[in-house]
Amino acid sequence: MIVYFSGSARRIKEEISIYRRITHVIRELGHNIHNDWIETAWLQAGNGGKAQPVDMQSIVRNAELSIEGTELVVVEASDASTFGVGYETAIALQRKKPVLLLVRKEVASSSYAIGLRNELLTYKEYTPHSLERIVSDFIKDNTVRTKDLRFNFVIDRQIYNHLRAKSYRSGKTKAEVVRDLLLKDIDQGDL
Amino acid sequence: MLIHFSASTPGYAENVELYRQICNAVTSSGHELTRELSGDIPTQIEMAARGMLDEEDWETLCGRELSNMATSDAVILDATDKATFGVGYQAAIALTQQKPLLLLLREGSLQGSFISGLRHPLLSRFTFNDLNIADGVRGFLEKASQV
Repeated sequence: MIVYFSGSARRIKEEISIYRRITHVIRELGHNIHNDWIETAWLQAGNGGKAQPVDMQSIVRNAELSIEGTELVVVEASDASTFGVGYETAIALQRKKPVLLLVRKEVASSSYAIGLRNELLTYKEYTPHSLERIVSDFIKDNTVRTKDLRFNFVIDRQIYNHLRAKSYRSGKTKAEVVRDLLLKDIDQGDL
Repeated sequence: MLIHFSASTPGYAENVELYRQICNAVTSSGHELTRELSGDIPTQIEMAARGMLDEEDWETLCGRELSNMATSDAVILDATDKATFGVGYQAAIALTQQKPLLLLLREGSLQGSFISGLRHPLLSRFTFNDLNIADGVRGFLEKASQV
């Protein structure tokens, strides 16, 4: 699966070890990080003490596209000053991506993140000891088999006739017709 | 129009006079606010700023902010302050709900920030100081009225 990681680029020097531990767990489980900005930000931070993004418009656009093309999102939101992390969290949820929102236990009580509720959002407070387990559990819980899934689909005569006519006219199988309708529904953002 | 105004919780505690100017600019232009900022700072927001809220309180606060925003015609957010995770969250929701959005930033805070990279037809940014804040809000309201 493809996973997007969101965290504070501004605090990369302080947070790099935590970010690396999170992305390491994801890779260890056989998944890929989409748009892995961490090492780039880290290298930039080495030059002048903090990240120095030159083209924020591209960075923001790339982040939005990455979230669009990803299956899961992991967010480290202990630094409450991160407008971008909040923005990306909301974008991910709006795009119906399961999100793991991580906040260090000692700062959790003053975090806006603690109050967010969404069926796709998993909020977890972590300690240095529990970080890997929490990330791993989330990834495993949300890993969907990539091969096609099957289920029984019971329909009445009216729907069957409609489906058969549509299949005949379009030259597609009935299953393809249904799949196309569902993909259109997903594109429109309906749940 | 019905306007939703919000800011970070520490922002409320530190900038209440500034925020009253913003709210006054909204109401004196003939618009309404989803939440009044008259009198004292709302107790729950003050408690949040002091780290005194528990998880249930935060849930109520976030839920109310988001449902207030959902009913509004346009949104104004102060994105200047220290704790802007929630402001970023609300900004994304506002834009996906197709609401005109004004992000306020105090002079000197825009450089290199994520906000400077945002592009959206409904997004306006205004860099303010103590003297021009009301003008920025009125300008946005005029523009938002035409959307």
